[in-house]
Amino acid sequence: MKIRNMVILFTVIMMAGYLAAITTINASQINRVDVTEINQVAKTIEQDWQAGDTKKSGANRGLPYQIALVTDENYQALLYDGIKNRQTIIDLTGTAADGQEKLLGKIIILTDGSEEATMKRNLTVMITLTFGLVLIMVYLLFGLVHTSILRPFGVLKEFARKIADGDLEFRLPMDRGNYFGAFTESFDLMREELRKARQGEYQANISKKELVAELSHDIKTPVATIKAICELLEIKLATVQAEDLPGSTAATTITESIAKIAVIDAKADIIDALISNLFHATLEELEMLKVNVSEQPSTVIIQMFKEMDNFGKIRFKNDLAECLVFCDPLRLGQVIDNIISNSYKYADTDIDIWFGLDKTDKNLTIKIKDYGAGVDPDECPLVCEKFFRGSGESIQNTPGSGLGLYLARQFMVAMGGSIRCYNEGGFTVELGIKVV
Amino acid sequence: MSNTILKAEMLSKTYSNGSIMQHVLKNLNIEIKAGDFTVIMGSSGSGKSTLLYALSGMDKPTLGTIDFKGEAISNYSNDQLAVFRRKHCGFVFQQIYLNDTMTVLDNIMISGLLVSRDKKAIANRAKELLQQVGLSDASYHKYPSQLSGGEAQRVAIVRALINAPEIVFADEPTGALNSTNAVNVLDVMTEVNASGQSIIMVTHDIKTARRANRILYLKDGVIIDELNLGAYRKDDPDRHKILREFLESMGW
Repeated sequence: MKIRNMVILFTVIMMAGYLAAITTINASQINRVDVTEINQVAKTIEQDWQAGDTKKSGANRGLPYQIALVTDENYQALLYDGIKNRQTIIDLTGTAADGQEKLLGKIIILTDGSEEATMKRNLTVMITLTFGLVLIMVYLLFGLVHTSILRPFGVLKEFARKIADGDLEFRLPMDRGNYFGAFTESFDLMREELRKARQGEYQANISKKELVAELSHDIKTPVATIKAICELLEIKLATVQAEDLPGSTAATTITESIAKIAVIDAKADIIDALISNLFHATLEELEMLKVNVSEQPSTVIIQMFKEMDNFGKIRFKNDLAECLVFCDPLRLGQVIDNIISNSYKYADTDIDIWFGLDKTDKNLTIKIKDYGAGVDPDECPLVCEKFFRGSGESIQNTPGSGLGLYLARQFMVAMGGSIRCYNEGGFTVELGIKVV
Repeated sequence: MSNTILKAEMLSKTYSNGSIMQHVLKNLNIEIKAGDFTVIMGSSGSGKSTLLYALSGMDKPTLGTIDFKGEAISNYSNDQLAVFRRKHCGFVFQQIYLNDTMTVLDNIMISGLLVSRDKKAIANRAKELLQQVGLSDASYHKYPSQLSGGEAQRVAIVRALINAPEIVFADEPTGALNSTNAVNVLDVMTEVNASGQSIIMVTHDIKTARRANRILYLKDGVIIDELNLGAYRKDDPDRHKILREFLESMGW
């Protein structure tokens, strides 16, 4: 139950009790004068009158009284006053000469009627004060509970929520004077420990990635050496082969060796490509990959395709609109390299290129399309995800890291451009580049 | 009035200094209609003159196309461009470039003779034009050194007009003149425009710009805004106010 509701409930109960008390007090008649006492007094006065003591006022047994005789002129007025003042009035009878009982007048016992009212009022004030004080005390108690127990709980709740959100920098405000001080302190210690652990984990992760980046960079050097040696061997063996007699065992061995060296060379190429993507992906994770966007003539794009056209399969289907575009030539080159390499690897068909220029949207589009099997429609939205590789058998049998299109997307986005992949009678990639 | 004579699309001009490329004009799209008096304004280094030279075929754009009456002059060779300039363009510069060893008439006629062989017709046209710009018979055989700056510039305007070019390109024609001569030259330019010739002019001067019916404001190689004054009469006092407000909004 909320503290506010509790206060309200308590107030209602107190008010009800208070009202009940007041009603009871007001309803009760307090007859201060004892009836038997009054009868006693009346008898005494009657006896005195019989005895001839006819004083008209006095006190008997501590009760002052006054006598109004029937014969008095102001008999009615006296009686009326007595009634008005809520005084006790008793008949005064005496024995007449003929022996008959006869009403002589009235004894008016002079009790104070207003005294009772005063007393009731005083009582009411006292009760009001008492109830009020109790109510205030209870309010104070509730207040104390609220500030010293409930509020710290609220702060603790907020603290827990922040911790859950991963905000470990939020310090828990501590009040050691409070009952909760020690309790909250232990919570804050917990946060501190958690923060240290998180930081340690982050550092470890970074160093792991740095290691991968360094290693992948270092591996490139021996791979390059392997490639150089392969080429050298191929040339050397080819010369030897030309000099050697055809058909001899040596010649066959040399031919076989040349074929094997070609395989080594091809595999080294694959390792090189994989390592290079891994290197860039790791750099990207470390946020160390720089994309330097500048204003470049769109003609550089043609050059990028031409550099990739090792097999004469790239066909430009229309002219590129000459304009200035925002790009990083190095990164855009990598993007095109990755897309074209994929096409060579998985489709191995002709590659058609269309250019389009939207002057109002200031966007240059490059549509790169091959005529292979395309990708599984279900997997199409995932091709730009990190480490994602298609599930098809031919894809699984081709070496690859699943980083090419991921990097392509990262680079395009960093250049303020876009990339879209879809099937359209073959796998199609549409690049959007911002025009100046 | 509404037929386009000169149209530039995605016009860019890049100067390279070693590995550093400087893009002076960036993807500009401009359309010049016959009879337009276009003024190009902008702070120093914004690419005004580069734009004028690219549009007039004096310089080749790095990227983009320029069409003159439907012909892509951006694909022309240097020789083709020279012929194009001779036939269709007139030029007026801040430095007047009159040949000091020739008389006024000869200075004008040599331009005409590059296009036509009819010496007599050219001489007649030259005289007619000189009359038109307010130069008397007495000046025909003077040498440029004997002319005032304003007179020399008017001679240069006549030289620019001798082949009845479709477009006159002017690069700060009043830049080196005193105010009286400047007004004179501008009056001539306005008259020339009124007779149907298109003018494209680069200027720094608000009084000069006021004569135009179209102001292009260039900043860092991009047209950031354009003002059309065509709706106001040449002597409308609002013209100056609107132009001033426009230039103020450009941070002039």
